[in-house]
Amino acid sequence: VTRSELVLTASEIGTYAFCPTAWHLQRLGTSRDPASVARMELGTLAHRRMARHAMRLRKVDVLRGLLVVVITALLIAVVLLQNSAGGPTGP
Amino acid sequence: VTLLVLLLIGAILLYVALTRFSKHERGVVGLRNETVETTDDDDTTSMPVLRSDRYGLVGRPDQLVRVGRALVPVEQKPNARRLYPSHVLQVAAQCLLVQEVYGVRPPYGLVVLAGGERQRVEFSSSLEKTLLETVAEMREYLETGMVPEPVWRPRKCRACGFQTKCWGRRAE
Repeated sequence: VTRSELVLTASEIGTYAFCPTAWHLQRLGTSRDPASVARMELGTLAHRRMARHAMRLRKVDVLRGLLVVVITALLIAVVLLQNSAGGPTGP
Repeated sequence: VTLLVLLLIGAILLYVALTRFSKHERGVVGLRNETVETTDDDDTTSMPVLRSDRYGLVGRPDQLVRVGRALVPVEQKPNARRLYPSHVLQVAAQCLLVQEVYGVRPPYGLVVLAGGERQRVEFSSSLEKTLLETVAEMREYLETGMVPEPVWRPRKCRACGFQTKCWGRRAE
């Protein structure tokens, strides 16, 4: 057994915890039952859908961060312009 | 000034709309206030494969989220209705990898089940010990070439894709 063959993936550890025999068969590259393959494909699709949601969330949060900066800059600009347009007040 | 005020109102309205959208997306992916640092299947940030030579482990969590100084791995299990020990050990392995690669121990990992229900898995020292014991067991199988004997567990076996292979082989 080579060193690289002893490397384990996190996902494999999960499979082993489910069933050591299933892990062993998966590692040997044994083909799964057709119904299970179909279930796995559905799972992969669901997984991709979640990844897209997470990606969108990340982008939206970056955009929200930028908007906070823009809103702050605009507020400062409005206040400064208001003050300069109004001129000094008082007696 | 009027133009700036209009721009300001527009920016605020956009911010409110994005916040509502963000809240919705958070519900779907089972996150609360955490910041998504990287996510799988993302061209722009591309989740790195986490690797530990010391433990001989590799892994790629579905997301890495930031909670304070720590990075917390997230595993999405959109078809699972409850948390299983296999999920716990998988996310524990991701926690160990995050600790190895980023140098900060995640206090917990997250497993997100069907409907965005999130389960927090504390990365305790006892869980780490169980994980390392499991890894040692797996290595022993690999090194000795021994084959784990199948055990019939009705619920698990009926859900398993190797059901016919496994029991067929045993019948021989």
